[in-house]
Amino acid sequence: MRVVRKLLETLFALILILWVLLPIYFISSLSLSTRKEVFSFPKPFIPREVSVDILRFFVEAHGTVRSLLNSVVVAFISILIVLVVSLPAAYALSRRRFRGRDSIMLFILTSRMLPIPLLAIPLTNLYIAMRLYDSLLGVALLHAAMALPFAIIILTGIFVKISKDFEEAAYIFGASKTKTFLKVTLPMALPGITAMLIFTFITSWNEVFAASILTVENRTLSAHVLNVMQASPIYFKYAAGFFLSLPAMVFIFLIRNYLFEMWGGLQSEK
Amino acid sequence: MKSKSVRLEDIEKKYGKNTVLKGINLEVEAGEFLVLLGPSGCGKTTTLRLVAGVERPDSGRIFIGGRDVTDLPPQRRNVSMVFQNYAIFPHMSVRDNIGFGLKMRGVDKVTIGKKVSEVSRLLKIENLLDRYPSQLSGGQRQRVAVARALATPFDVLLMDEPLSNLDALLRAEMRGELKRLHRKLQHTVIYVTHDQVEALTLGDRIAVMFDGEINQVGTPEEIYEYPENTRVAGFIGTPPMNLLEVEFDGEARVDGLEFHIPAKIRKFLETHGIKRFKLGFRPEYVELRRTGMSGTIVLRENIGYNEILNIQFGNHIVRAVTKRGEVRDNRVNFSVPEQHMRIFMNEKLVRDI
Amino acid sequence: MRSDEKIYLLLAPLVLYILFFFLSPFGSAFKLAFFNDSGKFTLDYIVKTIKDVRFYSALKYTVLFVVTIIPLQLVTAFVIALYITRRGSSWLMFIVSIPLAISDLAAGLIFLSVFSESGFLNSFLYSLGLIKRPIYFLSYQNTWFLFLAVVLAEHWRATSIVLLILVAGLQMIEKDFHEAARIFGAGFIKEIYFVTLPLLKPSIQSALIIRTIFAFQMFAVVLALAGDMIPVLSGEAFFWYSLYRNPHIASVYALIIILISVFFTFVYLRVMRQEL
Ligand SMILES: Nc1ncnc2c1ncn2[C@@H]1O[C@H](COP(=O)(O)OP(=O)(O)OP(=O)(O)O)[C@@H](O)[C@H]1O
Ligand SMILES: [Mg+2]
Repeated sequence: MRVVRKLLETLFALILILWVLLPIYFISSLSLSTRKEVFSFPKPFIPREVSVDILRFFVEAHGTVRSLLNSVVVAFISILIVLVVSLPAAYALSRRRFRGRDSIMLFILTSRMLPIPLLAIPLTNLYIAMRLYDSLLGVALLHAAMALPFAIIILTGIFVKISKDFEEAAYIFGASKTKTFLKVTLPMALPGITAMLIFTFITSWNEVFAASILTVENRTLSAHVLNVMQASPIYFKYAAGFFLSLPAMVFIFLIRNYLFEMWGGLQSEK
Repeated sequence: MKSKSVRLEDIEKKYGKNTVLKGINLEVEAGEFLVLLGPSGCGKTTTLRLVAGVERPDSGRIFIGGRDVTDLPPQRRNVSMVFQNYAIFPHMSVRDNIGFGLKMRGVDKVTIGKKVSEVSRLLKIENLLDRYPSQLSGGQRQRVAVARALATPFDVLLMDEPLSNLDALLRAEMRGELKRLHRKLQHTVIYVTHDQVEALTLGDRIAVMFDGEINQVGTPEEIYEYPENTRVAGFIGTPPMNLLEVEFDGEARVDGLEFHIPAKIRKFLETHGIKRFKLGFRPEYVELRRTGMSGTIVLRENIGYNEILNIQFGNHIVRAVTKRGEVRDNRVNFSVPEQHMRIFMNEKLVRDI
Repeated sequence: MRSDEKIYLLLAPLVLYILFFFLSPFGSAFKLAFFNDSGKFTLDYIVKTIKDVRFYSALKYTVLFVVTIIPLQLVTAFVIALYITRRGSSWLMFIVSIPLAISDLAAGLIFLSVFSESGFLNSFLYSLGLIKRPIYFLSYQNTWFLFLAVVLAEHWRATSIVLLILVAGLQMIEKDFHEAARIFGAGFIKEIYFVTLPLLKPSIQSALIIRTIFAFQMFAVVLALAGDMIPVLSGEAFFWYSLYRNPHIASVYALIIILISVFFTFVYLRVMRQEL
């Protein structure tokens, strides 16, 4: 009885792992093969050869490098904006109960529920008027707005955890408020802040609707791929899929310890 | 309600590398009220959880009513339990919490209702039935947990410090209720507590545990009068037994000072050639008279009607309980009646002298 | 300065930012949907949208996606979450959360490697001897299969977020409740029905709402796997804006998306309050 159960459980875990990892394995093995190999049929489970042919084709294709750089720039500007806006706000939200705190929190949360088409399409007119249309800054501003609600929730959770006691201890030993924040609060919050920034990066890297709508020339990588893929050969699509998911997988590995804290924070806010 | 015996055979339990239970052997008779007593972290809760079946032993067998239940899941062991931290369901009203076990057994609503009101009357929570756990105080929650355990049919009742969070008055009252209930229904109970008064008043027998081992099982009188070893002796009783290190060279000496021992013990020591031992005696039995050893009172602890005198004797402190105010002078003489002296060799009680 | 004022000062940039980026477009969207370029009120755009045949199939497919994907995700995520919490298996949790950060565009492209003509599913079927030549899974003749492919890709990608929410919720339900349920006689099924699900209700609710709102915006994964063979609301908004250069009709679609998301959210909240 117990053996059978154990066996079934192991089988379940195995299926689960295969379900998650197989598609990643498939796309990787295809992206790391040659253009000719992609069309061969039937495909062996273990690839016959490993090559960077397809990846090189992808990178050398018109627009890839430029949009890749754009993606990185947009992501970093978003991160910067998120930092500047969210740090003081989250600090305030975590420290004191004040009038309107709960409404502000609710407002932040529900704002994220607005669909992206609703944000991006009307924004174009405004951007054209503000000369932000087709600019990296414009895209970054919207990406930052999209990442802000979660950033606030994560950060507030972190700051709440860092007990006020530490700060008071610092005051007592003669540190100023600014100094306390820089020397005590921030270092303790740093790992969590890093996770939050990575999260912002991913949000920006992955976002495709707004990045396509708000730009014509200055596309991010996701937007670029979306717009050219219909007219591209299949190996381009494979390489794009592989390339787009790579940083996502690396980053999920980096923030794995924070996965639960983020959601724990979210849930206790509700 | 039928009741069944419980037997633990060579139970070992590890958490990671840490062996929490080191070979527990324990027999609880059908209808017996057994108290598990021991310091924090010694493995009392773990033992209960093993009997309940929410935890599996690494080795050893567990029997309930003679049947081997080691591999049975909790819901098929027919035990009931009061959790140390209550575990009453936050999404159910007090009424539903108490009736939960009956509902799971498919009992009809009317019977559940009757049982719930009967038990809640016993625990004085009738007026809380429609509340939710978040609207209760700690002590009220604890009583709901007890009520739930009592309302559910069981062969064995496990209680993990069920009264720890009540005020002294309520605790004494509940203690009385539990005792009366047990007299009436004669169910098998394993009851965990830190509280010695609880242990001594409630238990048919007491099992004293240290560090994952049971040191002694016996009636409250046995445990109190004849502690199996110095650890039990030093744990039971408030204040616990005095334990003096004695050197014997024809005369008994404590830190060089002579200590009067009766001829019978002297003879025993001589025939066995014993040079060192520990002498134990309860503070309640110390007699303060003109004769005997002399010492100085260095501290008086007021415990209400009585007081505890801390008497400096050599490098030892001898504690004695007397009526408050009876001893005025700080120089006192004390002696210990022969029948209350206990000899410990290698920390173990020497029984037949 | 009073300390309360200081707090509002710290919060001001955030609130202004969000107001600007979330609320002002909301107003403009209404303006775009109901007023023409010379500023006159009109229902033309609405009429034109509903008269479009693609609108109905977009609406149909979007709703179909939502009502198949989300229940499926909830059930699988719940089973996996139970398994992971009971076994306390954190490495499994890590593996299962790998797709979490992958975009829907990338997920679509990844599943292309499975379903394409010379892809792994065809190769697998061939090696089993079930087919003689590759099947064109992703063609307009196979709409139901296109649909299935998108469902699978979405399930693969977005179940991890539901899982994360449910595992976090399950961990908050103390181990004690699970044990108490067992001791008081509940078996696996009864425990789930009477104890686990009711306690998990808030987590299920958040997962449901978050997923529904995002599922109504689904489009890159559909585009990657099915091109324009399966229309969805967000996709139509995208095409109307970037292909046909009509921000008015694109805005109508955007408003329809939020309307329908809000409607579903309210239905959930209603049903959840009564049930369970
Ligand atoms: N789940 C667990 N994982 C690891 N160690 C545990 C676990 N549960 C208990 N322990 C350890 O086992 C030992 C015995 O714990 P147990 O809860 O049985 O003690 P106890 O006698 O009930 O203590 P208390 O009187 O404080 O409730 C302790 O040292 C504890 O740290
Ligand atoms: Mg305990």
